[in-house]
This record gives sequence, C-alpha cells and structure tokens, in this order.
Amino acid sequence: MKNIAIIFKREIAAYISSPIVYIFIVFFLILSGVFTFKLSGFFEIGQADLKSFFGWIPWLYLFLIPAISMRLWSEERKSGTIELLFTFPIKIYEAMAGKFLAAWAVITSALLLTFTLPLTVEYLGKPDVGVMIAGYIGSILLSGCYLAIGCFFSASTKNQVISFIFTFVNCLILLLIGFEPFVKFFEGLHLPLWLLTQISNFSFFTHFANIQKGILDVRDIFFFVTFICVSIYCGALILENRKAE
Amino acid sequence: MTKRNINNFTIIILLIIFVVANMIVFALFRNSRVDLTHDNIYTLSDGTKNIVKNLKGNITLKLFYSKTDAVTLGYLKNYAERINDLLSEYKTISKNKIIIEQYDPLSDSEEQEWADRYAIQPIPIPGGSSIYFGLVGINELGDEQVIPVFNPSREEFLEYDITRLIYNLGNPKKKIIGVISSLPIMEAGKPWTVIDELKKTYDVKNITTKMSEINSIDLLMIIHPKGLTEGDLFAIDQYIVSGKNAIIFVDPYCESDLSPAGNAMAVVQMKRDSNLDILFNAWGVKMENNKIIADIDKATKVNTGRDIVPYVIWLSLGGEDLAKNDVITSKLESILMPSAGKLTINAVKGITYTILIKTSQKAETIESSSLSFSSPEVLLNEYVCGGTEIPIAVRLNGLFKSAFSKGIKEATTSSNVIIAADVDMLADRFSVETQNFLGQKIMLPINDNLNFVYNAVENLSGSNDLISIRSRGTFARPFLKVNEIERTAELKWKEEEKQLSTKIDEINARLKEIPVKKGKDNNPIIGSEINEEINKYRQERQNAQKKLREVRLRLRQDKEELGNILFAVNTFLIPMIICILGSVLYIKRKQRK
Repeated sequence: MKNIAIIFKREIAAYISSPIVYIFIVFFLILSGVFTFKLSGFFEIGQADLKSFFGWIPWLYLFLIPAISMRLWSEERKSGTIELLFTFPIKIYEAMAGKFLAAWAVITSALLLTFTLPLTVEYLGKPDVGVMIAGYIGSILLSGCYLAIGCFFSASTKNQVISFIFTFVNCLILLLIGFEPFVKFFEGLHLPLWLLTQISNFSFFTHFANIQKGILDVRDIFFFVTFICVSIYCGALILENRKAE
Repeated sequence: MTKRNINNFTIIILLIIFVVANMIVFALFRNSRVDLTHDNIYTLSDGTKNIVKNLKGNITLKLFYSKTDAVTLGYLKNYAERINDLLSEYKTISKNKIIIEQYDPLSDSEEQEWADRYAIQPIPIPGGSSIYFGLVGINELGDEQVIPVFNPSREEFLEYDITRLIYNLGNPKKKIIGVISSLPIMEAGKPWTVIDELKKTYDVKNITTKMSEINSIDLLMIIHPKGLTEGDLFAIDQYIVSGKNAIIFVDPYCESDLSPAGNAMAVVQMKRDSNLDILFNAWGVKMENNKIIADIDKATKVNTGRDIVPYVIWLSLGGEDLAKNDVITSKLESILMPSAGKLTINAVKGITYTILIKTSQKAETIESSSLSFSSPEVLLNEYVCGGTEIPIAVRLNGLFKSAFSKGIKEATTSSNVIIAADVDMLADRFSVETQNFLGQKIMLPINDNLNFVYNAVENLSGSNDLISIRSRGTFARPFLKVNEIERTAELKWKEEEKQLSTKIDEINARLKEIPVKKGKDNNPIIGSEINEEINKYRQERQNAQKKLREVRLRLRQDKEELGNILFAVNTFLIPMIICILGSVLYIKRKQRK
C-alpha cells in the first residue's frame, strides 16, 4: 500500500510538470462544452438535466483515454527508467496500481472540472441532483475501465501507436456489444439466447446506462470494479513477462 | 513451467473468474441497489408496500414476454429485466403471497394461445412476426386483471400500473362512481381518457338524480353541470348532507363545450358556463359565471402561427400554486387550467376550506364575453397585473347544511367536497398525448391534470395508498430561469409593440381613406399630391414595421444572450484558467532552472 502511494505521488508530480496533461484537460473541457451545447442543443432543449453531457462521455473518453494510457509504460521503457524502477523493492502490480490511480485521478479531475455544468443547470431550473451525482459516478467508473484496458496494452507493447489502437478498439467493442446492431450480428451466428444475454451483460454501455438513470446497482458497481482490478493485475503479469525477457 | 507460462495461465484463470463471478452476481443480486433519484422512482413506495402487505389471499402474476423473439429489441430486453426485478421485489414484500410465473410465448405454442386468451396484445415487430409483452394477475376467486402491453415510455408509471392491478385483485368489489355531466365524456366508443382510466379501478356509471340511484353510489362526480332542475339540485344537496363525498368541476367558460355543431354563430353565442350557485351559496363558495382568470406569471406559451406568445388565460400551475399539505396535490408538479374561474370563499360555520390550487399574485379576472373574439396577443396586450392570489380549486370538509328548507337540514357526519373552477383540464387535448408504440395507440399524460382527478377520487373513496405511488413521476424539468427572462422581456417590450401595431393599423386605415379618381378604363388616376401623401404614409409604415421587427427581435435577444454566455462560461472559462495556471507554472520552473 505504501509503495502504491509512493508511485502515485511520483506520477502525479510528473503529470503536473507535463504540458500533455494540461492539453488533455483543456481539450476534454472544450470538446465536452461544444458537444453538449452545440451538437446536443443543451440550451435549446431546455431541460434541467445533464443527459446531453453524459451522453457524449463514452465517446469522448474513447479517444482521450487511450492517448493518456498509451504512454504509461512505453515512456518508462524508452527512457530506461523501467529498469531503475524494477530495482526498487516494489512489486510490479504495486507500480501498476500506482500508475493507474494517478492517471485515473487526472482523468477524474478533468471530469470534475466540468462542475460549471451542474451549477448552470441548478441556476436554470430544478435538476434532480441525485441523477447528476450518479452520472458523475458512472463516468468515473467508465473512465477507470477504459484506463485499465489502456494500462494492459501499454504494458504489452513498446509501440505507443499500437497501444492506442488496441485500447481504442477493445473499448469500442466492449461498449458496442450492448447495442442492437451487434446483438443482431451475434444472432446471425445462431448463438443461443443465454449467451446473447450474457454478452450484453458484459458491455460497458449496459452498466453505464443503468447508473445514468440514477440507480447504483450492486451488479453494475461489481462489474466495473472487478473489470478494473482484473485488467490491472493482468497488465502487471504481462509486464513481469517482459521483465523476465 | 516457466514464470512466463505461469503468468499467462494466471491471466486466463483470472479472466474466467471475472466472467463467472459477474454471471453469478448478475443472477443473484437482483434488488440490491441505492436509488439516487429525487423521488426514489426506482424503489417501491410505502403505498405499494402497504397494499402488498395487506393482501388477504394469494395472487398469481403471469408475465408474458417473448424473450426468444424479442432478442433483437435491445431496449425491450432492458425493460423486461427491470420488470422482472420489480416483480421479484413485490414477491419478497408480499411474503410469497404474490406468485410470479413467466412465459415465453413462441409462435404457435400453447403459451401463445394463453396470451391470446388473456387478451395480451401482440406487438408486430419488423420482419412480420409479433411479440407479447404483458402481465396478467389472477386472484383466488378467479378474477383477472391485465396489463395488455408494457410500454417503455410509461416506465415512470410502471409501479403504479402493477400496484393498481394487485390492488384491484386484492379488493375485488369495485367502488361505484356516479357521474353527472352535460358533456359527452362517457360517449360509447370515445370516452375521455379520464373516464377510461377511472374505469380500470372503479365502476363508473352515468347517473340521473333519482334518489334511489344517487344513494347507491360511493362517490359523486359532477362535470360541467348545465340545466339542472331544482329537483336535481335538491337530490345532490341531500346526498351531500347525508355525509357522502363529491368532486365537482364547474367552469365560467368551457372551451371543450362544443355541443351545437355546424352553425358557427350558434357556437359563438352559446353559453359555455356551468355553476351550482344555489348549493355553493349554502356551502360558502362562489364562482362568478362571467369572469375568467388571466395570470401573466402562469401563462402558457402558445404558437399563434406568427409568434410564440404567453396565453394569459391558459394557466400552467405548479410548485407554490399547489397545496403541499393536502394529499391530493402534495406530490403534483404541473397542472394546466385553460380559462379557469375564480372561487371566492365566504366561510360557513362547520366547514373548513383548503385551497388546493391557486394563481400567482399577479392574477386578475377578465370578462368571459370578450374571449370569443380575442387572440392571445390581444389578451396579452390588454393584460393588467392584479394584486392577489385567486383560488381555483378548493376542498371543503365538515358538516354541510342544506340549501333547501325541506329534507335533511343539517349533516350529522362530515363530508368532503372538492370544487374546481375548470372543466377543460379534464379534456384529452389538455391532459394527454397519443403515442404510437409499435402500432399500438397509447395515451401518455402530459401533465398532472388527470392525476389530480385520480388522487381526489382515491382520497374521497377511501384508498390513499395508491395516491402516494402515482404522483411520483416527473414529467419535465424546464429552465425556469429562461421562462422568467422571457416573461420579463415580454412585459418590457409589450407596450412598445402595442403602440407600433396601433400606428401601423392607423396608417393602413388612412391609406384606405385617400380619395382615388377612376379614369375611362376604370384604372385609378392618382394626382401627384396624393401620390406624395401615399408615399409618405408608406414610408412611415415601413419605418414602423421595421421598428416592430426590432422590438420582436429584442424579445428573443435576452434569452439568446444568456445561452451564449452559458456556452462560453462552460466551454472556455475553466480551460482559460488552466492555460494561465499552466503557463505560470512553466515560467516559474524555467526561471528556477
């Protein structure tokens, strides 16, 4: 635990001094503002809720989070600090968890910096605060899952572009398997009914949409949390393989 | 085995554990959740719990859902799962008095035959086949209640629909509601939605005022009473004095009263008011037949074809306007009352008065005779702010005295009478919208108008549990601030708009009055002086029209400005602060180096 905290602090310090993080946050905020106001017509719809904002979150994260996660391990490899890191008495999964938590904290900060939106809605009408809070919780958990996939692929490959593409594609697949066209595609393969149901139960979208409604269900939270833990631990094991090489 | 192989093996095992653990959790934890919504719309309410706990016999709920055939309809699948979860919660609370059975009616199967036999509606889906998605409840006496189709857009009312079905099965003897009305609200084939919905829980009867008939009912509903004789009034009076309850809707100008069809003049001249003044007088309530309430603060926006204007006599009421301390209105959020009347209370000893619905402080009354010829714009221009809140619906509770000198003079048991000075609120066009769901017509409420009626009926006929469930749905959460800005702008520019419109009308009239001579071929000959005058007026008219357009533009400007400011703040403010912060940190670090 102590080691995780050390890595976390080291990473956060690195993020604060890196311009990439600022660019990421600015990019995220501007895009979410433009999408919410201009593409979804938040003001014209005239409803005091954040549906038009949270609706974009899975798609915005799809591009932004792989960009953050791709450099988690490849930078260390390139600069050679990875060897130095592994000479410390730190378990690999601790290093992985520290790095993951730091990146998650940055992404969460970016999300929380959209606080002007709930304030705007509160100023304009009488929103359902519980539903807004649930929306934020769902978004944080979703970003955790994307990032955990990113950690896994960043540990698997030296090449940042490959890491980005693999993370992107995997997130996209796990998002879309809850969607109608995909279910139809599986149906075409004549898969049994129970399997089709189970497949969509493993879609990020199914669980994200549930939380968006304002319900914190044990099943949704369990899915997100176990997904994050398993992905990170698998990433650590892959990294250990590389270290052995 | 090398370390590498062990690691790879561990990864596979971990993935399998992840999948299996989630499958188990999906199956086992069906109702473990925290509901963060304001009204807890996803949690069973106390009303449902009371009804379900107090069930005397067993009730079987049969859910028909074409699981296999509906597999491509993702949104239905999620909804079916939600219904499944909900039903298992009902079962738990009822301590297994509610028995759940599930059927997947495949085409040409026995299950499909049963679905048809219970009148579950087949829903056609793309590809030519049909699916079933409905519920049947059966009690020990063999009574059946059906929800023919579950519509996802009624999700907010899902609990109410299921609980009502259970309530009806648990209380098989239906209460009788007697209806007296001058409107065709119970016409065979096309009854108003309000009556249609009441029929699902009650035995609704059209009644006359014969003593034997009126005394056999549990609750009296009077809607737009016109042309009642003294004998009729006496019968109603005696019904109330005998300690029974009534809900009365009267109106100084009922827009839905369209009886004589065909003759336009007859429609204009027709009297559209209704009252029970003889009875009201004895009860300490008065409604003036020729006065209608106008309220700029509560005005409903309407599209006149030229512009969107607040229609000051269509009142959109909510929040403070609805009594929070009365079970009928406490959970309601929006009521629409078109051309409602003013109730005045002259308290009579023995009766307590609770104002259920009232206007804002800016309300005034206008003559109903002026309505037939006035457009929303004219009414807005002529609007003068009033100074007091006006009651529109009132609950009377206590020992009523008779309005007549014969019969029972005074009540010995107390009665409840609810009086609302608007009938139009019950009409379909002001309370529901029709939606098409896979070929099925479904009525969806657009406001709480009908909930007001159902709450009143349930409260006055003795079941308060259903009320607490129904009024939980939220319809819309509008931008109140924007509405306020629009109202202020309207008041600000209304006067100028009015002056300009009058000026344009005057110029048009003067242009018409200019004498024009006619030549041989009947073409007008215009002298240069007259021509100049015409041009002058035309120029003046053009200027006035231009100004008018500017004024109308300004009406929208405040709102658009707010939209732009909010966009800018939400999109660029924080990024700018971050850029500045980042730059400062960068410069400082460089200096340190």
